[in-house]
Amino acid sequence: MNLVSPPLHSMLQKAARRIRLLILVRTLPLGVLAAAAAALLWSLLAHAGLFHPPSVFTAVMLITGGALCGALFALFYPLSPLKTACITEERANLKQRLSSALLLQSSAIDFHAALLADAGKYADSLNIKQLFPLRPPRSLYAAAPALLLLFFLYFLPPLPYFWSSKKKADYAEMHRQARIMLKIASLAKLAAGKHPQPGTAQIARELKRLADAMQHNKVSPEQAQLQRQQLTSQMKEMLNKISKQSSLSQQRQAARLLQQALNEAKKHREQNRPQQGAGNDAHMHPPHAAPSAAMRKALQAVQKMQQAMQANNAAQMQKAMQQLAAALKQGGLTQTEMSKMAQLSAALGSAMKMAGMSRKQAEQMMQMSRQMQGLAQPGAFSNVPLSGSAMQSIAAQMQHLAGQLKAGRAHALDSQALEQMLLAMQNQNGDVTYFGMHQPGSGINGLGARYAPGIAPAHPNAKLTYAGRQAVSGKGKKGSLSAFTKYLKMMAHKHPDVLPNGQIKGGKSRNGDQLTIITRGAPTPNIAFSPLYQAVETGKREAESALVIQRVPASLKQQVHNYFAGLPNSK
Amino acid sequence: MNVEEQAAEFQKTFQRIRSELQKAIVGQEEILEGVITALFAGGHVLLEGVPGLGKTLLVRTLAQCVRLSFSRIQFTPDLMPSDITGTTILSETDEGKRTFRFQPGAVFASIVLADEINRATPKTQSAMLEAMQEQSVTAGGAAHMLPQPFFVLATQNPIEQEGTYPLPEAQLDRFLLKLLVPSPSFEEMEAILDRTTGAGQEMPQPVIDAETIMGYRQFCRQTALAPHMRDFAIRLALGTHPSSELATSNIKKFVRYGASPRGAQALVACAKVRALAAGRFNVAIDDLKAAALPALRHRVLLNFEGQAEEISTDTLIQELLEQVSAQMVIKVPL
Repeated sequence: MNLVSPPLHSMLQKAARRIRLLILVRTLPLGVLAAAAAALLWSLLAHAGLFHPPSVFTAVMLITGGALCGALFALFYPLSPLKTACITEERANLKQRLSSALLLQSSAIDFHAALLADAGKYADSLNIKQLFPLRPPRSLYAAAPALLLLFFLYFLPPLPYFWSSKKKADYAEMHRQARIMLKIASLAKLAAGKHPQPGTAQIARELKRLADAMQHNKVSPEQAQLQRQQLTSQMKEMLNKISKQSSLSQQRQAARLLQQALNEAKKHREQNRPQQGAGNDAHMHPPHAAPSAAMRKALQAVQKMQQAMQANNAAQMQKAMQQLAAALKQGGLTQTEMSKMAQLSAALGSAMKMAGMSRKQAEQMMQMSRQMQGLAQPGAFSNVPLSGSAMQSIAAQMQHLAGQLKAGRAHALDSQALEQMLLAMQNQNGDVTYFGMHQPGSGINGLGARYAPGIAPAHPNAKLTYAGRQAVSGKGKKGSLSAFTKYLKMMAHKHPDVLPNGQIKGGKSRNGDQLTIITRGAPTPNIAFSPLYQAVETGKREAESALVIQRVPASLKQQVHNYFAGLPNSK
Repeated sequence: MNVEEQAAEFQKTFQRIRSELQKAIVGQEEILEGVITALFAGGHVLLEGVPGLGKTLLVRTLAQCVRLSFSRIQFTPDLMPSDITGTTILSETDEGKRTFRFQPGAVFASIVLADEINRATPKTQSAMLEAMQEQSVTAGGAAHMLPQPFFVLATQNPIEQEGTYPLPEAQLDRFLLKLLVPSPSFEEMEAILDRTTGAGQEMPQPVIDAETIMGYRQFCRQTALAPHMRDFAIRLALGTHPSSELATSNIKKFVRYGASPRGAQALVACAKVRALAAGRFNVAIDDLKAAALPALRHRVLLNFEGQAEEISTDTLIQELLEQVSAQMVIKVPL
């Protein structure tokens, strides 16, 4: 016998639907709140550098997932009729009428029938909507600010006002690079006009477009850097192509120049031959009758260099240069040959410069040419290796060493080396004049003032001259090389920054009784850096806080306090 | 008369008895309700309170309201059991023959007021045991049935007073309810003074007879007790036992013995009457909660520690009620 009251049954169904709706209204924002909180936490940890920050899509998906979980929880929440009845009667203060009727509905007792009728009557009079009103849940009040915060977190940072100082610096750097890129783009455009290499104009356009985007913050610094790297690599490739083309043409030109120089040399030799044959004054020009062995070797080396230049072979060029140097070292060149060789070397140097080969090698070649020109002059010291450039090189080394001595980085042995160098100069009758801003007391050009070495080969007494600021005569000081050497030795040992090894760097206190060692980070364990009384105080505080956590009974608290207060204090 | 009409009639009667009692008794709403409830539930009531609070007056007034025979026994230390139950005496017939005849004691009445029951010795108090439980008295080898309904209302002063004998546990368990009579409030005292020291005093009128009471007793037993309400009552009764897992920590600590099954019966019986009196056909949690203290407080026996700490059984039962109520709450994320 089923005595289910229709009003009760209908009311329970309505109530169940309403309760499910209320659960949904509560759990949906709860899910959103949980997801928003998770997203915020993630962002916070990302800000601390522990994770990558979640993208907008990830955050939206997280929140949608939270909302979905809340909705699914509400939809699948187990809600039996008895539970519905209990909740309803609790809200309507029906004193278990509905649940009792539901549980006893199958009973055939008259009293229970009366109970069912009574429950049905009450159920019929219930207004479910009033009984279960829709109110915004508390979680909504928390979820709304969390969502708003998340929204701000994602959409406010693009505004420069909210940028961090680091980000502002990044963007300022990006703008600076954009300005440079604009200049490069205009240069690349010009280059595209001069060298019609396919793709150059396009790279120029890309470069300008990227620079514009960077200037208007349309790309992030990271993206800009990536794109710039791509464009830079493309540009490098393009420039390599252009430079290869230009270097080939320059090398050909240089080779032509060198060929002309060789031809000139040959022509000169040919011109000399008839003169030798015509004249009987063989003793007048015996060395010049035929090219010497050294000259032949040197010419072969120069020819090899020309071939290397044509082939753009740096290794072969290096080898040829070594061969030339060996030929020259061997000696045996006449003054005419020396003069020719000097011309050839000058031509070689300019050719190498033109060909875009090693600048250093070209310079060496030019220097060699100058030396040979000097040696080719009548009355020159044929056996003196010290040329002007060599002196210049020695002077540069001296300056370097002196600077190191000034900074306390050079060893005393360096001053001995310098002394030896100076003695060598003295023996060769060299005379070096330094025009600098500083007096010997401040070191030789130690602070970067200009110097101007000069040479007077015939000077009998070698001297170092120190001039004043304007190199005005009389203001500077003059001294012998030995005095200068003594000065350098003194500087090597008396420099205040040069301290014996093992001494701890630090600073003395004003009182002079305590050594202060500045340390960074946590001190190493087992070494105390705090006075004892501070350690006792700290320990006391820690112990008391630990006792608070332990919940010591009130009656014992005073005793515990007295115990810690009674600890020996060395303050 | 159908069930609804009977229930309505019962509710009306209940209210009328209460209003008649209120003519003599000022305030004491819970006491009045408890006494009437016990009357219809078929149990006896122990009223505890200091002298002068109107306990005796209440019982006398009730006897007037219900149109039943009334007997008052003043319990004193020299009261003998036979004074209560009655005794067999040698009497002479009209023919001159001498025979033993049972002379009924004071207990032979429908409403018995056992005034200051704890002043009598335990032996005399025990004389009430059979009468209260079996509703009969055995004397001289014969059982004598007591009149129906049989309703004992005992009063006692707090047991801490001198010259008193605390009721034994078996005796206490026979009382359906133990009601604590509180002192009147200021307003109630004003009404008491006006009513008792004035010229006229309204007399209570009889409302119900014995037969109707017996009928209502049967009717009340039919009140619906749903399984979850029965579960609540059982949890309450079992929770008073220190060995039960349903007991609170304080019960486990301070209680020696919990309520007997008679306690659970008392709980449900009272709840049923209260539900009907409230116009309901079912027992509600509120009914059980209202009946819990009067029905269980004298059935929970404290151990030494509980007595030393002066723990009140009311406090323990209140804690238990809160715990069981919390267990019954349906948690829905609303």
